[in-house]
Amino acid sequence: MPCDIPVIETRRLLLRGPEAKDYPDFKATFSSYRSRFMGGPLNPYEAWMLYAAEIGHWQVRGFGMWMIHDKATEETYGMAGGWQPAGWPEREIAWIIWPGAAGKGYALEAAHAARGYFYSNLGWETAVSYIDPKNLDSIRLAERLGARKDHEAATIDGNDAVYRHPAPDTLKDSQMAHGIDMEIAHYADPLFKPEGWAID
Amino acid sequence: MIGLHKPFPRLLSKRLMLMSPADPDFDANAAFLDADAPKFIDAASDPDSLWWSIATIIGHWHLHGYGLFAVIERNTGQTVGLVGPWFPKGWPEPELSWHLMEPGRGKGYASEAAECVLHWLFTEAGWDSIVSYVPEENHASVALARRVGARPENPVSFRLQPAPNIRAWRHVSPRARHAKAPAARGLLH
Repeated sequence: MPCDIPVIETRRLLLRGPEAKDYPDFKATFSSYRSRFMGGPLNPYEAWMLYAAEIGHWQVRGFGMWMIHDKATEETYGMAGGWQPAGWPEREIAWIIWPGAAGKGYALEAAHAARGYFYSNLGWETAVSYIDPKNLDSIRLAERLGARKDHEAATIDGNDAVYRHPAPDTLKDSQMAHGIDMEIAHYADPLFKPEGWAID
Repeated sequence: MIGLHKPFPRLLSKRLMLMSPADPDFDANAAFLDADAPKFIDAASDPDSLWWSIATIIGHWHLHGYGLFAVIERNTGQTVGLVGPWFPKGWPEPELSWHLMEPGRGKGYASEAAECVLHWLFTEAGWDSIVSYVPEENHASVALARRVGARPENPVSFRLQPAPNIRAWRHVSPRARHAKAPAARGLLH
């Protein structure tokens, strides 16, 4: 099985495999109310076991969740990537942002890059996100990523809504993709001016 | 690419080869997770729990640098179990844990693997002692703990992961046993 975790560089971020030194940041969020839509809050044993599983996931599935780092400072902001533990009907694009780093477009930037990697490098034809219907921030993010609610798709346990991501061919060089790029660019630089994209 | 590769140890005993399931050469899906993989003797009734166990066991190696070894029968290449030190957050101390699979049953593999891991821990890794947490009613594991030289200590309870009737069985390195036996504190007998 592949077990090298690729590093992805985006405009502001570096996506790297989860490492031991990043665990305290993960634990802080997963032991807090912030993780209520991801099965939390977790006790220290559960949080550590989940973190270990995030790493093992890469080896068992050949893909997984990256730790989101600031490219300049290395500070972590959350996690994003692919997630399909036992019982998941399909491969999921997932994300969680530490509460202090919310509202800056990091999840959008990281999830967009992760999805692009899975489409381009691993040949994924589709992906979903399983989202608690009360998790409005994540539903909004799924929609900004171009995902739409899929009423036909199987859910994990009936308590989640399935958002289907646009297929690689739909996304490639589309107005939607350029819109996402532009939104990310505006987060990075509020005075950013787009040039030559379909959305102009 | 950053590698998860680390120089994970491989151990050899008379009939067994022990390697980390996090080793890039080990196929955890074929050995444990594929539909035709053999079952664990102590398999949980929840079929998803094995997936989580394997994922956490692999992650444990990356976080600690040690963990449960996959136990492989040398003459067949068949994986027959998982044996090794296990120390998630919330565990009072590292535990020598063992899980045998159906093809490994009744051949003395669990004790051969446990002795091999203990030798590695006490000589190569420099540990002085390790416990095994064994449910009192698990007579096979109690017998195994005795067979590899562990001594019973007090019943223990895990605050974070409660389970009834667990007793600690302590394995002590020959070096520590011959020293002033610091591990003897708390012994019942």
